[in-house]
Amino acid sequence: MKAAKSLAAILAILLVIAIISSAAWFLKIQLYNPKTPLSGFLVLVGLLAAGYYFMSEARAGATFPVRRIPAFDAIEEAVARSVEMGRPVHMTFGYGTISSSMAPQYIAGLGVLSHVARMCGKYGAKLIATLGVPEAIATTEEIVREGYYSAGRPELFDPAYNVRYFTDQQFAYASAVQATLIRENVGANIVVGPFYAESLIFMEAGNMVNAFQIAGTARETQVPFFVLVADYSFIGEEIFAAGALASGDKETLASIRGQDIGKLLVIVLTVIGIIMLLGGFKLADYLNWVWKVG
Amino acid sequence: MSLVIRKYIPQLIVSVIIVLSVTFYYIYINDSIAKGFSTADKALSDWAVIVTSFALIVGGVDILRFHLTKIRREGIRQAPFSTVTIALLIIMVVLATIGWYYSYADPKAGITITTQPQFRWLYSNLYAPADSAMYSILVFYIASASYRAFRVRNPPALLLLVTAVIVMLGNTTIGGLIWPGFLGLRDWIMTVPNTAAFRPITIGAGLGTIILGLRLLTWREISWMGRRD
Amino acid sequence: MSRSISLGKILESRELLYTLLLISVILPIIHPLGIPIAVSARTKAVYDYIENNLKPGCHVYFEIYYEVAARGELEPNVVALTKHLFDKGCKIVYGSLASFGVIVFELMKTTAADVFQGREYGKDYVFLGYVAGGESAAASLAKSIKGTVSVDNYGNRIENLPLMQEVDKATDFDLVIIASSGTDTFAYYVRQWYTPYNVPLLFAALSIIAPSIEPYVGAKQAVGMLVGQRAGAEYETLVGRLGLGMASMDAQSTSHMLVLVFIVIGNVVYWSQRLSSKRGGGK
Repeated sequence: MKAAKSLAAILAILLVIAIISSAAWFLKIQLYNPKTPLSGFLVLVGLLAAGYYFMSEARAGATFPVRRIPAFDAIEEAVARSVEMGRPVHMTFGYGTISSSMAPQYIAGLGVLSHVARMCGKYGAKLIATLGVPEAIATTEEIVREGYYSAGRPELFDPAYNVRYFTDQQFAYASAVQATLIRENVGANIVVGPFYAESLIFMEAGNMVNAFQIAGTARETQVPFFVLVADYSFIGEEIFAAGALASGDKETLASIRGQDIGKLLVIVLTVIGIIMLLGGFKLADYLNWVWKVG
Repeated sequence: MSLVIRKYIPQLIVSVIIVLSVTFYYIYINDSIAKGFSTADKALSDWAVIVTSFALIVGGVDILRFHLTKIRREGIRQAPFSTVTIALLIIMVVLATIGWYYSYADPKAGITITTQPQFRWLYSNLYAPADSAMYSILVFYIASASYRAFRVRNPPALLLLVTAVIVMLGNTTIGGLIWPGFLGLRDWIMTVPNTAAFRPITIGAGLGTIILGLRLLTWREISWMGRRD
Repeated sequence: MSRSISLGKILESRELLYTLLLISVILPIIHPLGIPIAVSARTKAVYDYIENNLKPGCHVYFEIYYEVAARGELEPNVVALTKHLFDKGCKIVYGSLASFGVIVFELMKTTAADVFQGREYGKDYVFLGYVAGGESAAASLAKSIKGTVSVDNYGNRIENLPLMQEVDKATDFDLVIIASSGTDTFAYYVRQWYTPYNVPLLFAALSIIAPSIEPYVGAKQAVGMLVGQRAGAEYETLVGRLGLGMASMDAQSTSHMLVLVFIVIGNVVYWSQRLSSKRGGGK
């Protein structure tokens, strides 16, 4: 019943958008940016609506099966093995800043960090979180503290040991992380977030100390390095799903279904595009259509 | 009150900024409103840059804290390394401040933070070679990683190996001597199958970002604040 | 079997691979092999574009966005392009959205002093220096350079420079070249310079970045792309000034070949071990 209500609410919002758009068209008001294709806006609104619908269905009690992500499941194993070996766990979430387009991956990295911190609290592992972005220091400290405190192990929290900000210069950061991995002889190396050329440096340094390696990024240029070298890897958007899995919250997990609708849409559009291309038409020309009044 | 300040206000700021950013990007109305939107959008991103720049001060303090604690705990073994780091941190800040002062006091001299002579000397002769050396280390790491990774364990691994060999030969002049066709084949691999493999990852990341935005908008994504539920 | 295991162990040691790799990189730089280089179709296409579309007196905006670490791959491209543009009689406005751009520009000018010789600063080329603000700055420069920066990198008033009296906004330029070690920079220019003003863009990118910006070239949002050190070496041969790119090509060739040899040996050892253990080895 609740889900039906939210579906009705979403349809009502879409209807309002349609009415406002038609009114603007009728009154000759240039409502939408004439430099931006309208298809992008429609996809954005459609996906947000779909995601919200699934979230509200989950709130009403529906359950959506979510594919297990092996890399996510491996985090617990990695932490437990490090404890057995008496070695610390290392986690870094990259070099992208919160004020850039890398912000979503940075937030996904923080989501994984909060899961790692809780696992470290659960097994009593020593966690070393290294940073290349100064704005994350306070948040990281908070997340690590929360991980240990929520597991009832406050004595393990030592900010000067657990959280290490080195520098915001890319290769100086890479060099410091590499040195940390080797000097501290880490048992697990978890590297999830936006990464640049430093990705392979982290992976090879982890490999030198035979660390259990879990890596993931949505930066496509670095994905191959992680897939080749890490024991487990998150590929592309899996890092966003990892944050949802870490929360264990049914509603948050349901939002991933919105992502799947998006993928389905992309596949359908690709097939249509290929068929149209055979007929001499380009789908992109239609998708790039901008709404110009007058 | 504490919950309001620590939880609700940050979430509200995030939600409002998401809505504003989408509005500024897609809505137009007329030239002057669109201009206002673009000014406000620039202001938002400028604020983000300014706010995060202040975090650099926190970063500087954190580096000091980390190294001073390390010296205290590990003693003379650690002292030389940490002292060099702290000394250079302070020297660079002082030199940059001198450059910044001159850029205002005597703009004609053409001295700014990055063109301050001693700052520049240290950057070009100390930082730059070290930076390049770290980047160059990738040569070795790529070699050892590919040596381990390109084992023909199964048919897909064979395909990966063959592709890698073609691209590597295409990248070299020796490849051209063996068979001139490697260059064209490399270009084809890089522009067609490689790009085709990259696009779904980019699209997937875009979709993931949208749904992450939804979770932030509906206050379900809270890991970025530390978990306080 | 034991022989293949011990060979495997020797090959597994990083030290051997790293030492041989170091030698294979350094030796060809000291003693160049001089292997001739073929020019790829996409580099030739970029050369032809400049050759056929830019007339003497044309204006080019040149974004310098790479750190010192990426100099080896991008500087040969930047120098060769600059030489080509100067030879064609073009005037160049350099700028950088990155603070380190100022330093790499000066380094580039020092190594390519011959290219800049006889070119007058302010008339033939201008360097705006670091323009802070990322994408917003790119958008602002496209609208008006004079409205964005008041002085150039050396403290000269922009309006006092003769070249800057000829150009101010995106549409005043016949070509915009972006040499960047990052992915985002290319997107900034596509969004802020190409989409609203339709200015032709040309990319010079690191080999590893190239696939992620390939869609822009495929969609004709950029007229072409120079990829990595090899393109730099190719362009050097096209403009007739052999430099850092060509010198490094031999090192690239020998190091690639060494890695290939190691991959092959690694597979031989792997399979010999696998086959012998299948045959009931372990004796």
